[in-house]
Amino acid sequence: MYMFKYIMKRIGLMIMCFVVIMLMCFVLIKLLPINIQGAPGATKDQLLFEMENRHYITNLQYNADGHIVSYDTVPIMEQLGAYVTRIFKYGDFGLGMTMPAYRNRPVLEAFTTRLPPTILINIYSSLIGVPIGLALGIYAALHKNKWQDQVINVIVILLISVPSIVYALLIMYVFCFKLNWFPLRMEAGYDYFSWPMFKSMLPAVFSLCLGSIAGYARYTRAELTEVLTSEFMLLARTKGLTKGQATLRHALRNSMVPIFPMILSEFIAVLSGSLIIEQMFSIPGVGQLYLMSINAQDYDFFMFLSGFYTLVGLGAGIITDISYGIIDPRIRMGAR
Amino acid sequence: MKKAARFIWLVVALLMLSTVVLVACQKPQSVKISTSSAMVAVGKTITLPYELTGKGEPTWTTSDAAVATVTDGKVTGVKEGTATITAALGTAKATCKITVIPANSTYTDDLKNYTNNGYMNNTPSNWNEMDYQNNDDTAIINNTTSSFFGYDYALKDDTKGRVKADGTLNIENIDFEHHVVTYEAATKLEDVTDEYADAWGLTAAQKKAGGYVWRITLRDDLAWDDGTPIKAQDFVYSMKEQLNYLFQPFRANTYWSGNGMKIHNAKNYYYQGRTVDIPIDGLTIDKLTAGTDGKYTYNGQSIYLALRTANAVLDGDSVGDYIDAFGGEIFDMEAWAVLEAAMDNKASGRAAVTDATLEALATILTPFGKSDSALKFVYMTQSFAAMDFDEVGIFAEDSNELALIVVLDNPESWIREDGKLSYTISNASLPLVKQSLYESLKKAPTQGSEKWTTTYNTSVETSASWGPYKLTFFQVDKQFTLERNTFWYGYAMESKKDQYLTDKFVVEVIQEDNAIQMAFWKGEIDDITFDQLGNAAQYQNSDYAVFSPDTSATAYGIQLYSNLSVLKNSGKNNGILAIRDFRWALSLAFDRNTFNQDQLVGMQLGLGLLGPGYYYDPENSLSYRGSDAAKAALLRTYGFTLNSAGKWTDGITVFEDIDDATDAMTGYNLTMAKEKLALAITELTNNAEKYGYDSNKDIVLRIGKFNPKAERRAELIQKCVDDLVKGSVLENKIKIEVLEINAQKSADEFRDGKFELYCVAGIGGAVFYPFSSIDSYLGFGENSYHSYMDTNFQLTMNMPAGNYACAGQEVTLTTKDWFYSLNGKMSEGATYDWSEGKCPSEVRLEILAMLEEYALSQHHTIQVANSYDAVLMSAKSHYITRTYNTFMALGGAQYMRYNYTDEQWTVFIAQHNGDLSEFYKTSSAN
Repeated sequence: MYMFKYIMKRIGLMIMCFVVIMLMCFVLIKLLPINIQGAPGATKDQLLFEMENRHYITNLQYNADGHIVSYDTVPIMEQLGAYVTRIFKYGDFGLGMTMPAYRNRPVLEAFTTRLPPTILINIYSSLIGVPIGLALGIYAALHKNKWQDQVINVIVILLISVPSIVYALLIMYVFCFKLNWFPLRMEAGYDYFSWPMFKSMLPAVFSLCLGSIAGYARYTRAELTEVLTSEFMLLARTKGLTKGQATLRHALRNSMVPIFPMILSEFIAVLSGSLIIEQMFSIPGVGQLYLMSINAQDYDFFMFLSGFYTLVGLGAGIITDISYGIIDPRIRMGAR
Repeated sequence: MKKAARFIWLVVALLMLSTVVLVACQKPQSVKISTSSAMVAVGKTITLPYELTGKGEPTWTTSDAAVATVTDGKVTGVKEGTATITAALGTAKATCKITVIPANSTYTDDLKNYTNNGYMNNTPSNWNEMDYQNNDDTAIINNTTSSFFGYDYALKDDTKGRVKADGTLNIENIDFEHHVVTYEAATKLEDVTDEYADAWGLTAAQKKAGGYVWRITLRDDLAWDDGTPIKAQDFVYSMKEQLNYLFQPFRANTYWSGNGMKIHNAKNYYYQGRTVDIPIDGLTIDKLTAGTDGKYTYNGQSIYLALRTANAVLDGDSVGDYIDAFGGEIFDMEAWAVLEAAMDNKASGRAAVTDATLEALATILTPFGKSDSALKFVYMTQSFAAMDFDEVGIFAEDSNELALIVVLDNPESWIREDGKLSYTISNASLPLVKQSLYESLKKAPTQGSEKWTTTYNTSVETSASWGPYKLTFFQVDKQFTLERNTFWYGYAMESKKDQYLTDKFVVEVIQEDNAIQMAFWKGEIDDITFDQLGNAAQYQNSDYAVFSPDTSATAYGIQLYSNLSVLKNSGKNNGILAIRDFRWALSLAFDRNTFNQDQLVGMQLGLGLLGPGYYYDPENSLSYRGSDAAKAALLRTYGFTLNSAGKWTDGITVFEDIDDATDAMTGYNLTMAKEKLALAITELTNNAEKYGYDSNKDIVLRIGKFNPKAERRAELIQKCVDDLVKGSVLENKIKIEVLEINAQKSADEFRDGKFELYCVAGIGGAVFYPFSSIDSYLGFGENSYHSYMDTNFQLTMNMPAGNYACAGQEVTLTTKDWFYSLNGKMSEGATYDWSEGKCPSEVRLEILAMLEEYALSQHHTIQVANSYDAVLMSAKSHYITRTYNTFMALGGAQYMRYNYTDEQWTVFIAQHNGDLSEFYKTSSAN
């Protein structure tokens, strides 16, 4: 019951937070003194027509020459009102305006075609990264201060310090080019669940997850070593449990409290940080779209994508907090 | 007992072993079909080539007998669709995917699969011929459209034919240096001005001159990629849509202004029923009337300069936009102030047209190199009456559904006097869209806007092709694939047999240079430009490097500033640069090969002012640089002479013919350089006052730094200079320094004399008209780097015999006059008119070569290289020739020859362990 109220409260707060963030995005970007540039060759007039459709500008002055000489900008709050009304009334998130590949295409459609690769890469990255990271951390913790621990520590430091872009290049060169284990680029096509497609995503997935692996390993090792030295572990051993049983049933669960949320936040970080990886491995994902829309000053795309990332981040926050309660019974939200 | 048991076990084991050995020693059976996919038309049969090892005959089965049947390796098409044919021999199997194409397809499969893999930075966004806006789109347009007329290689012997009896290309008979103009989608072109002159209101003079009305007869087998036939009416419909104001297509105005054909009433139909402000076509200053207040009017109507309206001259931006964006950095703000003063309302961007404002606008346009386009910004309010499309000069003939008539406002001379097609035929092209598809994709404007939009040709579902290939897969920013259009008329043409071998084009988007390189070494893409190769210098001499002159035809050189009045006061003691012999010595002592290999990877040695792509007679494919006159001009400049036997010699070797001498010419001759240096030193020391020379100080020559390579270039030049002056009075006295300059304005700073060596800079031009670009080298063109040159220098030439002004006489003119006369610029004060048509091309060649030789002889530049596109080709395919022809390039995809089928290529890569980087370094030159 308390849990339910808590979740409701959190969702309510999340929606408020989301609205505030989107409002800030919308208003602040609109306030920037940017000159809207058309894509090469697009006449300025055409662009201004389209902006008028979205109620961003009004009162176009033609002066009987067919060319637009001046216009008034609609007050920002009115623009926001028109934007929100359009979304709720027509489900229309806007049309691409300035990027040549997406001119006059609905934003939602462009987004949904490009979303799967990004999501998949991130899911795979988490699926692979978490077990490996945890396993390494547990192994290091169990062999604390022995040579296995030292080796893993070195690896972890290396993986954390070097940016994922460098790994991407190394992986591409060593595994895709020299050893020929994986293709150089992601496969083309829309069939995301076939084996060749999965194999072609693997180099990108590995580049992304290396940093996360290091993070998980480090935290797990730290938490686990701390828990292993606590008194209740001594009790478990004296009770008759083997070392393995004690570790798995008791130590691990306790050390997961900080780890589990970290997994979720790493997921978000990877989602937004995969831009360069996407470019290197020719993955037609959302990250590139976001950057292009900022460069081309295409408001509709930018707003939608910002909203998406924000929502994902906020949602992850809620789930993280709720997951605390599941893992550690001591922490129950909303309890008196 | 135990012994017996053991013995029995032994025997059994031996028996088993021998059976295994016997079985293994027998050759294993395997079957392999040489091609993994093939096409067959309904009702036709193809024989699949296959290889067998081992005994037995394979059994053949088909996955879908309703689509294709197979007997003994012969596949027959039954109905359209796909099926898999399997050949089984024992346990071994091989498959081949069969696509059955409609019965009336023109294409016959050669049963070899060739795929060309390419890469791009972005996918095309819109390949609608009427509206496409950037070069990426041409990647698809070029393959999915055809044209009425085209170019092809000429034949050495017309009786022998292009294709042999067995259907293969007769390569020995192809003349790669010359072109012919061919009929492609059209079968006939006739000048029917006489027939239609009265109906279309042509004057008597126009009727007599001809070239205004043309009949183009189409082939009867033109079809879209789904078999729908194409008739003349489709072109009429397409032009109607091209001129549809509601869509405002980007390319509409190319049909009444610009370089293409000007269709009668195209502009009037486009703007019909509207009052618009548009530029005045073909405006020259003499058509304007000056009013008493200095403002010009046109035919009594008021005009203005539109400075805040998008203009085609600036690719869709306005002057005001550029000024706002860049301001004083690039533009002359004083000139802009003049223009603003002439505006009633600064926001409107409309300025009155006066001499002052026109001049100010020309100044502002100088950074674009378009200062002569000021008149293209003069706008006038024009009203257009409503008009029916029937009044536009394009229609299909009633009596013949394949005959298209076009009525033009400017006459074209598409047919030469000998009845053959002229090379200017490339103008005769019209856009084509598929009516049913185009109509269904029209979208009404969203509220508030007037503009209709269309998504025609933006994805696979919205595409239609009438060219050799069609789009079969398109993923934005990832990949697109082009496969054969089996209805293309060309596949049935005899003259196109054994061409268009590529079955599939797969173009991927790869943005990272490293990824491109790795893909190339792995054999996944089939070519890579030198710019994207990490260590391009190592592949300069590779067998697989292909160099073709790029379309800008730029010839690069180190420009030497030689204006004495400025050098004298430069404070760097470098007045010696004003002495021609010294500059000549520098040129002869400069090691161009080392410099090019180090600094200009991919470019080829170029010693002339005009690069290799220029034609002085495009109609007959005669290249300027390949002519004897031009070769002789270069040889004389670089120290070669004709000996008494009439053979060229450089003083040491005697060459059999002019080509051998040209090939041996490197521009390097240290002996001669030192001779010239001695003369220069004498001149300098005897006239030290005049040159401001102080023998106690070093001579400093400065290189302007506009890119990071300046220091290295200074090093290379210093080395050559040191070799030159060694042992002379100037030994160790000439220093090359690097000067920091404003990189954006490097050209202007050089012209002002702020530094002495502009390394490297060049001028390009129009490849079919070299006569107009030589002015920059004579000191008075708008791009000239040496405008201090004496343009009144007299040159004398004995005019060859012929039928033109001054034939057979000895003529002396100033260089300026020679240039203007050569181009027939009577309005600039040319004495004679030797323009195209008024003077034989061979004579014009002689004049041009003389001017080039004169310009070279002043040695204001050390020419080093011609701009080339350098590409490393994969071993999978090769261009049919290494001889570059401006019309046909190197044969392109049409004539490309393949060394490996797709299946063989996989094997090839495996043999090289998936890394071809070392293999491509092989060079037969080593």
